[in-house]
Amino acid sequence: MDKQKPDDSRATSQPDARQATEATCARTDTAETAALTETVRKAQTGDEEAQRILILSYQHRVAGFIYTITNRSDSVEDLAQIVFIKMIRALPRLSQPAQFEAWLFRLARNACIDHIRRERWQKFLTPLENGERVLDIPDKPAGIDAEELDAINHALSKLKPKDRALIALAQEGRSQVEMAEITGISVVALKARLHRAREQLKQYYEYAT
Amino acid sequence: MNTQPDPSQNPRLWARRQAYAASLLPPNFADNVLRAARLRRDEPAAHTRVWRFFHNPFALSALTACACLVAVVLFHTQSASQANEENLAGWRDLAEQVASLDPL
Repeated sequence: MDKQKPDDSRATSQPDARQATEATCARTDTAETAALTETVRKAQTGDEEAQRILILSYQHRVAGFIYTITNRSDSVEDLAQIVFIKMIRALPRLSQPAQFEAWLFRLARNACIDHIRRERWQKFLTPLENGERVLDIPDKPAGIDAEELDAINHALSKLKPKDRALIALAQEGRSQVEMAEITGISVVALKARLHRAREQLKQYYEYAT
Repeated sequence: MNTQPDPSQNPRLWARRQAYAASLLPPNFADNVLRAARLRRDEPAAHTRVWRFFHNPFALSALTACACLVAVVLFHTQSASQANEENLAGWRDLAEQVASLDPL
């Protein structure tokens, strides 16, 4: 009985500790969201320092997002620049600063889809120009798990850009409601499309490995 | 049995891809963006619009197609009216000849 007591106390103290940790995390998240909202508000008024903070905070995530959608490394910097310039220009029109992150990724997704569409048309309109350029072969990051990365690059290159965008949004941790808003489709349709995209990705990945 | 892992559930793989993508940005990326945004803001809006229009292959193609269509319509209208005038003149001549031959 005496032996049981410390175990009981541990059993009751563990959830308490977990709850305390969750509460601390929630408080930190709330504080971060408030700080982000404040930075967005400053950036909306044209404060360059706030705009710089936003770019520095999101540039790596946006670059990864663009890389996943385009599956090409040579357009990441240009597209990231386009996305952030659009962000600066459109910020004053953002009515809900708390929705900044979802809004930014919507901008990035639309910029990537437009870029891919434009590139496809350019290739169609000028078939003889840049004849030696092979657009659909992605470059691979050097020196890291080459086989796995080759496989995922191959699998992504087989998906449609809009499906790659869904995968990228899911990897960014966007909720399904946010993803539905960003892509302009219903949550039910989004679930089906995301499931199909994941299955296709898995199949092509299996095939490549 | 399918033993292959789902690549979309492999956070390590995506983290590496993201790290690679992040490494593609130059260290002064934020400054470059702010400079480019400032330059665009300072450009006159009308000039930017015209520049963009003439550097947009779709807009340029559409403009060329419109110009061709207008040229074809103009040519057709002009040639049709010319042919009409010629035909009318011919009929007029014929009518005059018929009238002169008419004994009444």
